[in-house]
Amino acid sequence: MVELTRLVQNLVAGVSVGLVYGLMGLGVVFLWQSINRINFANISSAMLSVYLFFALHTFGGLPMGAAAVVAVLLVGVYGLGLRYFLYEPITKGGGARLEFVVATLMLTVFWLTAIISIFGGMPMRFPPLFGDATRLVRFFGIGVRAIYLYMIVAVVVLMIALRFLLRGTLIGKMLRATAQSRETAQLMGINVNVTTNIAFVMATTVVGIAGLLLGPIFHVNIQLGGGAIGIKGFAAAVMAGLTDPFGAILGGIVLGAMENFSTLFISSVYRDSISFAIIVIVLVARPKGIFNWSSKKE
Amino acid sequence: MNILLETKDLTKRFGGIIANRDISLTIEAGKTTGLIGPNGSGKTTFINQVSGVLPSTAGKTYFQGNDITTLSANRIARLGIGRTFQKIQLFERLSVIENVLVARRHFYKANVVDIVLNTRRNRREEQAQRDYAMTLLKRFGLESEASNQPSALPYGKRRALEIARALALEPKLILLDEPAAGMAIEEYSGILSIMEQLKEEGITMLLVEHTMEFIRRVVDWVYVLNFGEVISQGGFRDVEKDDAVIKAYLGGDEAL
Amino acid sequence: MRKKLRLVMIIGFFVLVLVYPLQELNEYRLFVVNRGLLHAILASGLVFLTGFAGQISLGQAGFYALGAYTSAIMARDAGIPVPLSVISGVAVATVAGLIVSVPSFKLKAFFLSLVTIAFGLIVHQFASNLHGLTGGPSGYFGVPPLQLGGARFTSNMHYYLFLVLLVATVVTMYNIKRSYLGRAMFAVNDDDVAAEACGVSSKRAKVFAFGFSAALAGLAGALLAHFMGYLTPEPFEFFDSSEFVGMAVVGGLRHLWGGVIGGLGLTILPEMLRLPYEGWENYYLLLTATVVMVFIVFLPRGIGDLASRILTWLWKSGAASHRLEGSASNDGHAKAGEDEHTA
Ligand SMILES: Nc1ncnc2c1ncn2[C@@H]1O[C@H](COP(=O)(O)OP(=O)(O)OP(=O)(O)O)[C@@H](O)[C@H]1O
Ligand SMILES: [Mg+2]
Repeated sequence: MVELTRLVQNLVAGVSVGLVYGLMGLGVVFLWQSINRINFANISSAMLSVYLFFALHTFGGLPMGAAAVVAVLLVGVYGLGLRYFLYEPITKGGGARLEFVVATLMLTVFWLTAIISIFGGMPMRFPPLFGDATRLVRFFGIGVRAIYLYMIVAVVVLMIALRFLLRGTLIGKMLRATAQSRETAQLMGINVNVTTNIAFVMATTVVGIAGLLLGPIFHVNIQLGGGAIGIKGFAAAVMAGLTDPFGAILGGIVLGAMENFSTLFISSVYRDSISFAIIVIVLVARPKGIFNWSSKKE
Repeated sequence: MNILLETKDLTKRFGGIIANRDISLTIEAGKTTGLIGPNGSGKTTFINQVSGVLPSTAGKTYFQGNDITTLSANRIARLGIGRTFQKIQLFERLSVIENVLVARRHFYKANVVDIVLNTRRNRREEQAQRDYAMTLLKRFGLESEASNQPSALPYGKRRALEIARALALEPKLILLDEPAAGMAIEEYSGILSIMEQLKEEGITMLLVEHTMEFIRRVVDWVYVLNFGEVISQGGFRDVEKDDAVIKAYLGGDEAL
Repeated sequence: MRKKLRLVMIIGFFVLVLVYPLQELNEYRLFVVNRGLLHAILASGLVFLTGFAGQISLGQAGFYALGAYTSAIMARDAGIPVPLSVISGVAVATVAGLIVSVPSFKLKAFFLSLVTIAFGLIVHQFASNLHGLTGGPSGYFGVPPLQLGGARFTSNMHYYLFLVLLVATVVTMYNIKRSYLGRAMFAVNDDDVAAEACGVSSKRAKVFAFGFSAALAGLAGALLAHFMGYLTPEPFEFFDSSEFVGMAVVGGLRHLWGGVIGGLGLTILPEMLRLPYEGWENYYLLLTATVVMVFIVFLPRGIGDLASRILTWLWKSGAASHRLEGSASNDGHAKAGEDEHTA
């Protein structure tokens, strides 16, 4: 019998890591909503922001906070680069979905190679952006690691901001209209060019933030740009039917929690295998997503 | 009376929308049956249900007395139901003759080993099937285009190719979804004469069409659909005068 | 005149391919070429799967690993002769391919690619964690080598064996492509509803395509095991699956030779870019990745497409009078690259 304390600890850990998976899923959702394409290099943004943060702080001498902000901003700008150096040339050359898939797939390989070429393949210590991330904070006698609290707070704040952005501002209206239908949005006089740019920037930025939040757990590690983590972001997005931003966060939570409990009850070695198997089952059983309230019901 | 196809209370629901409700109709062997109705009345959905492209929500389809309701589309096609599509669906990456040959697949007897080693049996069979396809193309005046891409064909010939492809199945019944759509009279007269030919050969057809002139010329019996229900049936002259039918069509026009 | 030139070039090419290993004194380079031949077999399978049948696999390294470990374990631990162990490796990979094809009945494009990614990752995890069976990350050693008359295969013998198998692969693909099976696959790829209405089972076409491409990956893996003499989980990562897709695309998805060009090309390219400058050893891989990116963005139809266009242009006058029906219909496939992909 597993004691309650460990159960709660695992739940908190699972949910908070899951929230971060949800952020990665958001990156997928934003882009899908805007251009109907999947960026397989979605996860590279997480790795890029962590390495940028590391380099800016360690080699650039920036204070940690500033380094983190600049890193995330740069990853946002990289989103624009994705559009103008990848998406647009491919589209102009008559490329369709498959070309974009393969190009972004190769982009993952490219960034991994680039990081290995520059930093080497060995993991490095993540600067203590969140203080001592592993220290225990006590709640009702149950110790919870500080980093998980940071994750929860960060994602909740981001979600509130996002909700405000999408529901309360003009930009949000424009984005939602574009997501519904590009053509209609264009007819309504919305500058689709601008909303597309915003979508690209938002997509890479949220994943960049997710990277920094995962930093204390994964360290400065090329794993952050690999398939094993990347697929969890996709899984979160898939559970949301690729269309519902808040569903993606919920999907991430479920995935994170299941993953943690499978460690607790089954085996830590096959933790990833189990979550991949779950992904396959969800895909096959409910290809339209589980947490998907925003696309029209059939 | 020899019934080739019969549906019993065939129903199709898309979420909240009921596209077809309790459609029971029969298609007599050797005859040409018309299926008409205003836009969105469920004609295409009916063809999709019968041909197995869409699963039915309720009801049954019998072909030559056998229940084919739950069979896969390819099984139904091989049993002898060919079809065309309202929006032409050709294989654009294959040549014209290859489009026809796709529908000959189940007439081939060569196995994988024959194919991989390209045995004489395989070569001979391939030649025989190509000859068959060529004969079919000739009937439709497509023989000179055999090795072109379908995208190079004018609209009318693309329609003809789709019918040729459906006939390559050697079907007992062929379902035609608006074969004359988007064509002027002089364009569809070619299709019309093909259909008259097919009729003479005794091929059973179900014809969905908006062009009444076309319907008048070929059908023996007409069913009228409105909002997914059969509202009238009979010979074309009777149906034409049916008040319910006139109202359905007028209602449709008003909605436009 | 042109026809003669063509003949000379073709014969010259074959002679070059045949004598290459005999004059190659650099053992490492020959090793790279041999790996390239295996990659060519594998990438051809992806050309078949994606270019012909319109399905996608981002987990091809999984089949590759299954072929490799099965053959290695059967030969070393079960002690069966190497040719039979290779066959068992191919068989296991094929069965896995048939199983992975099942989700493709329902899922398309992105969703299918996620399933295949998950498959590849799961196989990799098992390879890394089933220590008793695979040796885990530290490796599986002592894989019996291929032998001929009691002597172990030399690099040259490996070269000729792989070459023969690669040619057999391409010939098989060519024969399938022009048969009713190939047409059925192209049809399903183009429009699966219309294909079904023509009596073609789209499920069967997908199962066949997945099975065949997995078999080729398994074959390449099994050969790799005996060629290397040891195995680690390293060449079977998601990263590698991505590279295999890259090979097929850079070579040309719609081309019979796409996998050969891409597989060999992308294996040899990094070695060619490995220039002897100081400090460069860290960056040649980056340059390789950049070159691949540029190719994919600006030449999405692949080198095969470009090459066939250049060749067609070169032989235009000679070939024009020589067009038979068969060759004309093959041109159809070449042109098909112009349509939208629907993977
Ligand atoms: N895949 C689908 N999902 C949801 N609704 C559908 C689908 N296909 C058809 N419908 C709906 O079912 C109804 C019948 O459509 P159908 O295409 O069968 O009409 P039709 O008689 O062929 O019309 P037309 O003359 O315009 O071709 C329509 O209301 C249509 O909107
Ligand atoms: Mg219709």
